[in-house]
Amino acid sequence: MIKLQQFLFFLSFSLAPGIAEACSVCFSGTEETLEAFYLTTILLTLLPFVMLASIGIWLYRQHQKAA
Amino acid sequence: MSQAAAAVQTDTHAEHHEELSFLYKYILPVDHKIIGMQYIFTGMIMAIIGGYFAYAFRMQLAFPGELVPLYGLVGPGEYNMLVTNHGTIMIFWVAMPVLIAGFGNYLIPLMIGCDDMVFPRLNRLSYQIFLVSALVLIASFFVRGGGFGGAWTSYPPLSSVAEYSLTDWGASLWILAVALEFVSFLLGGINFVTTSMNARAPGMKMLDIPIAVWFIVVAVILFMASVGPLVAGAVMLFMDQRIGTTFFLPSGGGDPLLWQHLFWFFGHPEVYVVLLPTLGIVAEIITVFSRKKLFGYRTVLYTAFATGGLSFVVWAHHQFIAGIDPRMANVFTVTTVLISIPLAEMMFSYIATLYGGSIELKTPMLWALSFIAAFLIGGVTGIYLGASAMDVYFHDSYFVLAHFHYTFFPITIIGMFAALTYWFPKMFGRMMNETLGKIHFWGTFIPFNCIFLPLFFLGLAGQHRRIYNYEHFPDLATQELQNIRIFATVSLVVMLIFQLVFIYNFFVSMFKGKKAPNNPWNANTLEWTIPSPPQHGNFKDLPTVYRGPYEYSVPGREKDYWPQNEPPEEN
Amino acid sequence: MKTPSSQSVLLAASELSLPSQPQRAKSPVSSGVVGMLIFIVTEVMFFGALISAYLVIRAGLDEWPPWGQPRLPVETTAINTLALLVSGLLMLYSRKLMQKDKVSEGRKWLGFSILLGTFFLISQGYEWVELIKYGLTVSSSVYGGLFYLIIGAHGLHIIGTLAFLTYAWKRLGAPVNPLTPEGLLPVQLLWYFVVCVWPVLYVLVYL
Repeated sequence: MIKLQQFLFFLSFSLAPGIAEACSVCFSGTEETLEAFYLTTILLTLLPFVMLASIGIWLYRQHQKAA
Repeated sequence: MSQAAAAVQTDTHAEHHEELSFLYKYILPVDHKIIGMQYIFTGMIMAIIGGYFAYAFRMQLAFPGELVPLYGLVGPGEYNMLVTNHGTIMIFWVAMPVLIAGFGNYLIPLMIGCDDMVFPRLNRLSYQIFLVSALVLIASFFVRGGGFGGAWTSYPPLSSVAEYSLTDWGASLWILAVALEFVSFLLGGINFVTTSMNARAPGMKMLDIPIAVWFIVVAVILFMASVGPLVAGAVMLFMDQRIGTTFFLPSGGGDPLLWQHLFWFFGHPEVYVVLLPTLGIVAEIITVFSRKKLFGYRTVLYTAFATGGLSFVVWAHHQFIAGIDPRMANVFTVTTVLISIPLAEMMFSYIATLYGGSIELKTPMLWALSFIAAFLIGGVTGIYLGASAMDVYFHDSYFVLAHFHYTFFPITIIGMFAALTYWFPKMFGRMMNETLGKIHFWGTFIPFNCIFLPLFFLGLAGQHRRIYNYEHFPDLATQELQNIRIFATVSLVVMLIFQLVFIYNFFVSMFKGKKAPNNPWNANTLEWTIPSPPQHGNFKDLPTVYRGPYEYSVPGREKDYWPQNEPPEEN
Repeated sequence: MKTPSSQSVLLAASELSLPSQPQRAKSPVSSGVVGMLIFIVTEVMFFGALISAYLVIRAGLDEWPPWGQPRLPVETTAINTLALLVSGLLMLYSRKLMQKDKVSEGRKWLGFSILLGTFFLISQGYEWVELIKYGLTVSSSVYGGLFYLIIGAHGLHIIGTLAFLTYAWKRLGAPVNPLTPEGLLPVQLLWYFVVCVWPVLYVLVYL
C-alpha cells in the first residue's frame, strides 16, 4: 500500500510543468537568465535572515554576558 | 498646556526644561512628541490629497467623459496620473508616516518610559527629509507633462523612457520623492529600534513591552532589511531616466523583470510593515476596552516574528504572470498561503481576548473591532490570489484591487482613526466628542464596504484595472456593470462627506473639548501615568516597571486595572 | 533597583535630562553600535541588490564585456584592494590599542588607516579618468553603466566614511570633550563594512 502511495507521490512530480505554455511572456529569458534569477532570489531572501539572526544572537550573548 | 507648564515648574530639574521659543518648539523640534505630531499632520494632509484623487478618478469611472465637479475633465493621461499618485500617496505618504513614523515617534518613548528618542537630532532630520520628499512629490504634479502616470509599481520600460510615459520630469521627481522618503524612514527606523532596545524604563523586561511598541519595532526591522533593494532599483531607474543607462531596457541589454524583483522584494514586506503597527494599536485598544488580559501575549509576539520572517519569502507572488519560472511560482504559492497561518493565529488571539470581556463600545473600540472584521475579508480573499493558478485569471483585475483595499483601508484609515481617537486625550489634553465620533465611524465603515464589496464582483466579471473608460469594451460596458460602478462611486462620495464630521470633531475637540484626565480609559501602559499632554521630557522621574502591560481585571484587586509602574502591594 | 550606574545610556538625549532617582540599567551594547548595525543591514541589502542586478544583466548577454568596450585594469586594482584591506587591518589594530588605553597611539594608526583609504580613493578616481578616456562611460553600454553604478556607489560610501573618520580623528585629539574610543566604534564598524564589501565587488566586477 505504501509503495503505491510512494509511486503516486513521485508520479505527481512529473505533472509539475517545466514551462507554463499558457504564459505569453514566459519565453523571453535564456536559461542563464533564469538561473541568475534563481540565484539572486535565494541570495536576497537569505541575506536578511542570516544578518538579523546573527545580530540578534550576538546582542543576546552580550546581554547574557552583562547580566 | 497650563497643566504641562505647572508640571514643569514642580520639576526637580526645571532648569533643563525651560520654555523653548516657538521656532524650536514647533518648527525645529527635537521633542519626539512634536515630531510625531508633525508626521501625523503631514500624513493627514496627504490623505486629503489622496482622497481627492480617488474622488476624481472614481467619478470618471462612474460618469465617463463628464466634467467632475471640483476637478474638471479627467483625460486618459490624467486618469493614469491620478491612479498612480493615489496609490503612492496612500501607501508611502499616509500609511508609513502616520502609522510608523507618527505613532512610532509619539508612542515608543512614552510607552517604554524614557524622555526622548536616543538620537533626537537624527529624528528631526528624518522629518525634515520626509517633508522635502512630500514637497517634491507635490511639485511633480505641476511640472511639464504632469505627474507620473506609470502606476505606483512603476514598471519599466513604461516608467524609464519619457517617450513611453509622456511624463518626462514627473517620473523623475516621483522616483526622487520615493527615494528621499526611504532615507527619511531609515533614519527614523534606526532611532526606533535603538530606543526600544537601550532606553527602556528600569524593570521593563522584553516581555513587558507593550505589543504596539513591539510591532512597530518588528515593522521597522522588516523595513530596514527590505528597503535596500528598492533604493538600489530607484537609483538605477533614475539613471535610466536621466543619464541614458539601460539597466531595465531590453534594447540596451537590460532586463525589465529585474525592476520587478527589486521592487517587490521591498514591496511585499512593505505590506507587513504597515500592517504590524495597526495590529499593535488594535491589540492595545481591545485589551483596554474589553478589560481583559491580552490572550497569549507570547503567541501574538511570536506570530509577529513569524509573519515578519515569512514576509521576505512571498514577494514573487506579485509576478506570477510576469514571466517568472512556474516552478518558482509554485514555491511562492506555498509560502504565500503559509503566511496566513501566523496572521490567522493573531486574529484568533484578538477574538479570544474579546471573548468573555466586559466590552465598552467607545469610538476607538468600534474602530478596532471594525479593523478585525474588515481585515479578515481582505485576508481571506488574499488566499485565492496567492494560489498561482487562480492568480492567472484574477491578475490585475478589480478583484485584486478590492482585495488590497480591504487590507489597506483597514490598516491605514481605520488604524489611523483608531489610534487617533484612542490617544487624542493624551496628545491634546482634551476628550473627543463621542457622539460625533460614532457618527463618523458608521459614516465611514458602511460606505467603505459599499465601495469595495461590489468591486469584487466587477473583478470576477473580468474588469481590468487601470482603464479610464470602459465604454470601449463591449462586455464591460453593460448597464448592470455600470450601475455597480456608480454605486461604488456614490458610496465613496458619501464616505468623503462624512470625513468632514471627523475634521470638525478633531479641531473643535482640540481647543474646546472636555479636559482629559491623565488616564481617561483606565489603561495600564506608562503613557497614561503622566499628565495629558505630557510635558517636555515626559517623565518627572523615570518610572519603574513591575509587570506586563495587560493586567486587567486581576482577581482580588479593587481596581480592574493595574498600571505597569504601580509598586506591588506588600504582603 | 540594583544597578545604579553613573552613566546614562542616552548619548544625545543626555543633555535634556539629568539622571533621576531610578536608574536605567546600562546596556552592554551602546546605542551607536546598535544603530550602526541596523544601518549596515540596510547597506548589505543595498549592495546585495546591486550584485543581483549585475548577475542578472550579465547572464542575459552573450558577450561580457560587450564588444568594443575596454577591459578593466585588474592588476592596478588588485594593488588598490590590498591597500584598502591593509587600511581595515590598521583600523583593527588601532582599536586594539585604544582598548588598552593607548588612545594617542591608536589615533596615530587610525590616521594611517585614513591615509590608506584616501590613497585607494585617489587611485580609483585616476582609474576612472583613464577608463573614460578609453571610451567606457555610463551610457556607452550596460556594462559601463553597471561598472560606474556599483563602483560609484562603493566610492561614495568610501568618501562618506572617510569624512566621518577624519572628523572623528580630529575629535579624538580635541583638548576639550574628546571623543571616546567607544564613541568611535560605530564609524569604525562602517569602515569595516566598506572594506569587507570591496573584495566581493572586485571579484565580481573586475575578474
